[in-house]
Amino acid sequence: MNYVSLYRKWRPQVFEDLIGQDHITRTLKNALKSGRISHAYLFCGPRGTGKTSAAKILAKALNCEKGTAPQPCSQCHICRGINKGNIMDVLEIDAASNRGIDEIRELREKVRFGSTQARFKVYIIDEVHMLTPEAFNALLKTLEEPPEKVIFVLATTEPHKLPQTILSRCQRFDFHRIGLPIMVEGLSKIASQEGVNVEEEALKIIARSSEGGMRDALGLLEQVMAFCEGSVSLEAAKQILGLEEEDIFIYMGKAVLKNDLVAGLRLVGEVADRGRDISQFVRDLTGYFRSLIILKIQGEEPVDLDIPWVSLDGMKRQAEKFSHDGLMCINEILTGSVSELRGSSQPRFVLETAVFQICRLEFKLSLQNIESKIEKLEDFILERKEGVAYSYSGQPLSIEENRKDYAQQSQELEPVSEDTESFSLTDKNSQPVNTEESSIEEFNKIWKDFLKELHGKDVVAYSWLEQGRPSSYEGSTLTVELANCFAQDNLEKSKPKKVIEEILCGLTGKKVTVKFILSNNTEANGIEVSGEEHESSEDSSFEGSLESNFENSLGDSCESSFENNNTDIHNDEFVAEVLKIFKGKVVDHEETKKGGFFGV
Amino acid sequence: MDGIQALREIKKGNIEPVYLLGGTNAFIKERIMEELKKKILEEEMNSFNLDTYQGNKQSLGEILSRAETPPVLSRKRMVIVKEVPYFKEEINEKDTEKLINYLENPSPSTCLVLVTDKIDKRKKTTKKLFLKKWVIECNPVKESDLKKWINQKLRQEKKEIKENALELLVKLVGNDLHQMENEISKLCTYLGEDKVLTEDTVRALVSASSLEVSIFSLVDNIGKKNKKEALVQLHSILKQNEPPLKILTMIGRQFRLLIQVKKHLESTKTKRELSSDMKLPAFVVNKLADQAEKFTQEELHKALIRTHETDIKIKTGILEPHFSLELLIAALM
Repeated sequence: MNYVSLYRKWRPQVFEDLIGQDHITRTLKNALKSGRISHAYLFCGPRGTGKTSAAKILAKALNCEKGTAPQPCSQCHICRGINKGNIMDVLEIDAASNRGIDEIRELREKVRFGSTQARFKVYIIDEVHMLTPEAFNALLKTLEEPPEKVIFVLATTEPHKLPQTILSRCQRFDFHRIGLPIMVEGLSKIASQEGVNVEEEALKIIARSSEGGMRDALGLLEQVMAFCEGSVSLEAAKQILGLEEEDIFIYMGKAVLKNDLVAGLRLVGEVADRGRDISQFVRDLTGYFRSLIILKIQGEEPVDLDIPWVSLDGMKRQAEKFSHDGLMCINEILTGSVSELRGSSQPRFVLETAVFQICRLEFKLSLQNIESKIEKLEDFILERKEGVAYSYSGQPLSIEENRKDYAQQSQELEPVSEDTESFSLTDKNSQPVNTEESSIEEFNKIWKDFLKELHGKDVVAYSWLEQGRPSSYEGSTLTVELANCFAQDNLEKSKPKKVIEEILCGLTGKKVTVKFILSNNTEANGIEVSGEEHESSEDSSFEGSLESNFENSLGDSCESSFENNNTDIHNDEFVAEVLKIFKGKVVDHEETKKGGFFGV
Repeated sequence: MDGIQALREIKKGNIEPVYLLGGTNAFIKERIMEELKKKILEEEMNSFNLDTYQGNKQSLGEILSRAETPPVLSRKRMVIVKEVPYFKEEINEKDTEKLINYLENPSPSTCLVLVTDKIDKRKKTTKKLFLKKWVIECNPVKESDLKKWINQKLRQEKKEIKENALELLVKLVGNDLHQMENEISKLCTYLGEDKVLTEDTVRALVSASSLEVSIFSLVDNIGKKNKKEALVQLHSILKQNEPPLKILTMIGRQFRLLIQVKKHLESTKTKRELSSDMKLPAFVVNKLADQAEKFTQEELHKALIRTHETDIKIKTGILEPHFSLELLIAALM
């Protein structure tokens, strides 16, 4: 048995060999040069970054027969002894298996005795976070008052598990993950000294798979070298490291970029054929796109972010091509399907649906686009109302002008809605939507029929909508005014909305999107159901003097099919209903101000 | 008396027969004990004249009898009792009486140093000690004092520190003087022949000790709309095994505060009024006000809602916590 695995063979023997930790080696060398040795060091960092090696080099440098120097000779009796581990004064303790208080007590007993062979007694306590709390306390006492010529080196991967009291007594060094270029350099040095020719690309993927740990990297290199004998190619390395698996995600990303649904579905078929667990695949796919988001945010600069994917360069290129919104949208779809998969008896179907959606992303995105446009439109309408209100005080602003803007806005909207048509995969709605002809009147006419039908299908939605009324219809969007926000919240949910839209579609023969807004007269809600212009809730102080202006400017704008009910209470639909419910009759009435009974 | 004052008095040679060291600043306590040892004892006689006890393991009687023993071959002896229970816990009548008797009439040749962390000021014994001004309260130092102390330390090493590096150092290490001393010594060792300590050096060598610091700087980065830095921070916090929901709560809190500050500032309140209204330190309010300018009120509302939605998604098991935090940050800005 004279084969020694690579990572043991190439364990760093001097500080120069310790790659990627310049800030630490410089400090330690300076400390040795100037004799400013702290009595306790804490080395922490991820696995394979050189903690134990650094501790051993430090022990050698302190005790080398040629004198304490930044550079241990590695030749003398003591240096070699430390390498072999048979110098009594350099103790390597594995805290994971000696974690109790008894072991630490024993250590404390022995600490007091001076060193025998070497100059310093060095305790290297590996995996120190495994100690029990009592053991920590016992150790603390020793750290607080350390005997002369005793040096503790604590090494751990999880410094946050150490108590603060220990942390504050040690000089702490954080070992960083080894950067990619440095590691590739180190690996190629070792490979060439081993007499093996390895492609640079292959080294790169090895380095990346190791996540910054040199020990892992050397292990992988060894594996690949054993497989290939002589020279290592990229392909062979990929095969050994199991990276072909990753390619399928990259292809999926490509398919999504090209909107290539066929390719996407073919990949799904491949996954299913290979017998992979589909829900695991979806989870991995989500992870892949998540990494793309991170890469997108990260941009050009290399930042130390955890991305557990080896084919990083390809992913980076892909991430650049995606839009931020697109990626967020994909993630929404995928996370949705992850939860859908739970308890689903048709996992493949769910996956296919998801792939379907992400390969036809424009559809979803343009929907979002429309949503934001509608939002804009809504703002615009509200603004317009304000504009009218202000026009009372200043020069009257003609409705015509406002209308022009409005028309412009709706024109802007139109191309998008056409887009939607072209993206929608079903044809049944593709009959041309003629926005010109359909007007709010039509909806007012069918409103009662509609409510009746809704009552049959969805009583809950009916009860919420009962107090609402259609307020405007533009560009295939019907805006319905509601009395309160609860109704709005409940109706905005996709299910009732869908039912409502279906019924409307059936009644009018058009594709209708419903949008719910709050009635402005929130205080008077319910009272004005029968159709007072919602503008009437404008600041009441304007009202008296502006009444006539108000009527003129707005009367036609709404093409009001709703009669103004203030003039004749007996014809009022709402009053009639009240009378019906309470079985009463009108004895007398006073003129109510605009704004409703409670409105002023 | 506070720790630094006491240290100065001791250095001048004004030594009391009894000291009670309280408070959580272990560094100052140790300094005082060291200084006392230096003043009182002759080193070669340490083994005769210096006794150190664990107060919770040794009986009071034994300790006091030791204190009353005259010194051997020198002028004074010193008795140090660590983790003294007498001033925070109930002790029996007899012991109290003994202690009071000794405090009434302490042995002039002995310096009795009692070390504890908490002091119950209502106790008869503590009242007596306070009356005689023998209590030294070693509380954590103020930030300005801490900076002065660091500067002084570095001057002793003949090094200079840049202002931003100093800020960073204080932010990362916090108020632990022991650790600060370690870090300073490490930094100076790293510098070697070089004279000036820069921010980069501090960043490379000093790691954040407390989680609060890193969470704060995470939300800080979110506030600054610095996505990339925020993600890096998030990862390092998650690596420290911090529960994701806690981080989420902190992010939500930050947005809530930002909304409050923004609203208040619109109503022309001064920052000082704000800081007392919101019960936050002034510098936090300043920072919040700066960050609030980068957002519109609407954006803040949306962000808060989004945080809330993420919370629901995590708790209903729709999203995996780590992933959802990343998504949140990606979507927030």
